[in-house]
Amino acid sequence: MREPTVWIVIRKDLLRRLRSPLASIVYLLFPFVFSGLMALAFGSGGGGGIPRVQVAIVDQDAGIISRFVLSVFSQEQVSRFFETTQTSAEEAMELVEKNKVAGAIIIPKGFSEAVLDRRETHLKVIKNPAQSIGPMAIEEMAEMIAQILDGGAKVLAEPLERIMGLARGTDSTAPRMIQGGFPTDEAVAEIAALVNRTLRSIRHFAFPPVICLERTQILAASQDAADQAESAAKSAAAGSSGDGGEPDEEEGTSRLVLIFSYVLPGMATFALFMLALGFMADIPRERNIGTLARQLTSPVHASGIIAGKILSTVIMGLLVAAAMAVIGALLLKVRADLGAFALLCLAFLGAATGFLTLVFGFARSEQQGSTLASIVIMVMAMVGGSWIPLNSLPSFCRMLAPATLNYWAITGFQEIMISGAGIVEIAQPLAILFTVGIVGTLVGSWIVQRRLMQGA
Amino acid sequence: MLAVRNLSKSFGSLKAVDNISFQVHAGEIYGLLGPNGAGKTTTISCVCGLLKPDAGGSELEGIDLAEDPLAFKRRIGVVPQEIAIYGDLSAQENVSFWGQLAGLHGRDLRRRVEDVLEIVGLQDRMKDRSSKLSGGMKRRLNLAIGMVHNPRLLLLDEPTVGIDVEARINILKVIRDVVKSGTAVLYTTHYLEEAQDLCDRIGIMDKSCILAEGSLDELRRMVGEGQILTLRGAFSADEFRGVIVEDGGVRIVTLEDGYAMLDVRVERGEVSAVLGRILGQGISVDDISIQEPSLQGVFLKLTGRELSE
Ligand SMILES: Nc1ncnc2c1ncn2[C@@H]1O[C@H](COP(=O)(O)OP(=O)(O)OP(=O)(O)O)[C@@H](O)[C@H]1O
Ligand SMILES: [Mg+2]
Repeated sequence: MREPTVWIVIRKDLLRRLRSPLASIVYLLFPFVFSGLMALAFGSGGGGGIPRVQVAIVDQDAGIISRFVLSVFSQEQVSRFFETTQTSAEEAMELVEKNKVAGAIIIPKGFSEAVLDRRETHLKVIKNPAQSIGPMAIEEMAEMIAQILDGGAKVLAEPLERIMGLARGTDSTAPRMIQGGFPTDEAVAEIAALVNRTLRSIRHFAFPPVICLERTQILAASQDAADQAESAAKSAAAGSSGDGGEPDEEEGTSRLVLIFSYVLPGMATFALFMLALGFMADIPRERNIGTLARQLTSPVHASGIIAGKILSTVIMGLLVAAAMAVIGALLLKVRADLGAFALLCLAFLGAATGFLTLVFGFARSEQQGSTLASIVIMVMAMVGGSWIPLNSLPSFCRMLAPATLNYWAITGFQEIMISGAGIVEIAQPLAILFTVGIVGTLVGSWIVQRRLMQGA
Repeated sequence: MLAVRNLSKSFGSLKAVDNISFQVHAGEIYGLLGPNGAGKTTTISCVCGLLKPDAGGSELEGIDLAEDPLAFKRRIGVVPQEIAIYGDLSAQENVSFWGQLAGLHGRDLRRRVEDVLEIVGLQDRMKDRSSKLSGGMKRRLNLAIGMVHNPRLLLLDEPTVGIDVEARINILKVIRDVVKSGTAVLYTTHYLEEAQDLCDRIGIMDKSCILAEGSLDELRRMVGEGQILTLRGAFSADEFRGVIVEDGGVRIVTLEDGYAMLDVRVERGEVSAVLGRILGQGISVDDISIQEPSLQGVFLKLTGRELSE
């Protein structure tokens, strides 16, 4: 008897994921690293105690992109770890030689133009040989920025150019836009920077040294946290019942845990969504390299091949979610209803893959589909509470939030983690997510199949 | 064995395949020879069920593709023009995956995977990630995948493009061996020598049509059986016709202003006599070439162009 096609395809895809596990590991660690950073940034009040890496920045370019690079270093989370001095090239060398800074980043003349034109260019990094961790951190930071710029310039070339036009006043709509209360140049540049950074944010954790650096901080913090898990649980309970006062200064670490567990579901949801995107983009990718067409020349039904792709993505998502749960449980000592957790993960992954099948069904190319999907995922993450907790969002976001998949997943996860909810209590998120999943999957696979048979 | 009937396929307003018909018999290599864009890949895609033809259809051993696609597909192996393998899987895992899709499993599957990798000479590299293989090795893996389930008909779309001579010889040998066991092969190429050396019958395809079809000898006879004399120069067709008397020895294959192709069916000495007659009559000739009749000549006659590499 021949095996079901779905199963053959799933086994093949799981084997492929196993062969290139880096992507899955990145998705897995991302929420912890990021939540940890958030917890540190917002929780440890003033950032005392963490020695900052001193870095000299030489801006020979003075263009829109170099402004972006500078603004990255002034971002809250980043400025917790780096202290920058803007200076000239000669002075930067002197600072390095005198061991005053861990290193220098030089943005050469013409850098912005090159990035926007997508020509090759360099961010120069000078490392201080007298220091060890600092220079490495600077190098990785520079590499991360390069990655963001590379990806961002590709994906966002158009909006960037437009924003540039606005900034220079060359855009014909500039006066009107500004009159209409449009944000200042800096704000626009910052928005562009933010979009860029968030779009590619997952990338920077792919560089082990960055993870190392950041993880040392988190582990140190959560070690303290674990010691005070009891009081953390108490204040968590107090927080959710709504009567609790502000935690005192002494309870700083328990506040860390609270923030951590508050932010984690949002980050985890986002990471799982990105995982689904990365793996579902296989549909156009395999269409490009011809393996999809080749499968269709086999004596099997197209539906089995597409179902295999969807299910293997869901299974990978469940595996990563399970690993997240284990790490979360170890770090935060959270007890949760496993059945409810598993079912919610399944529902969310189903909805995410269903939605993505639909996107890739319509998209004309991998580039187009991935760009469209990333933008939608970013917006959903923003509005749905993945980045900023729902109750801190402006009211119009809170109104839109229920239209996002993230919102329902996060609401469910928080109920499970913080209020100890079971399956019955999260029936509404489950029902909504499953519905989206089923509809998206059915309609999406139908479109994908039809397009394949037309040779598109 | 395979009968393709009145196949047509358009992409929008572009007719990629226009009402072509041909047959491939068991144990035969049928070559579709044609330049880039002739419609070879489109033909293969229609025959393997990947594209739905606008008209016409294919039948293999009495099974109609449109009526029973799965039964049809079980009997074919497809080797696409673009290498379609998973770079992150090993050669063995690749072949095994496609074998499973074709319906193999268990010991059968394992044995066929090993056999077919040995046939294409990849047994030493079968555990390596296929993205690490050389271009020629990837081509061979691409071929192995199409053969893993012992198909009755192999559809090979330019399986030797972009590889070195040695790898090409290896692939051609594999194909010859496969045919010995009664498999039929539909082989597309734009290499003249390949069609000449490998194929039992050849269909010459250009601009979405099959212009001529037959064995190499049959096709050659279309241009002539003697030496092919090609002349270019500043002469008019009428002027030229006045000089050349078509008799048992000389035949005009193609003649237009400034260009003439003659079939001179005589000993080599006679060629110079014919040339002498032409030049003696004051016909201005800039360029002369003498060739054995070849597919190139056939192609030239049919299309007025040379088929270049
Ligand atoms: N999916 C498609 N959509 C639109 N046009 C197509 C498509 N596939 C092929 N064509 C067009 O159909 C014509 C025939 O293409 P085909 O690929 O069949 O040629 P070919 O003989 O295989 O050429 P080559 O030797 O370059 O592989 C070309 O003009 C090509 O541009
Ligand atoms: Mg082709």
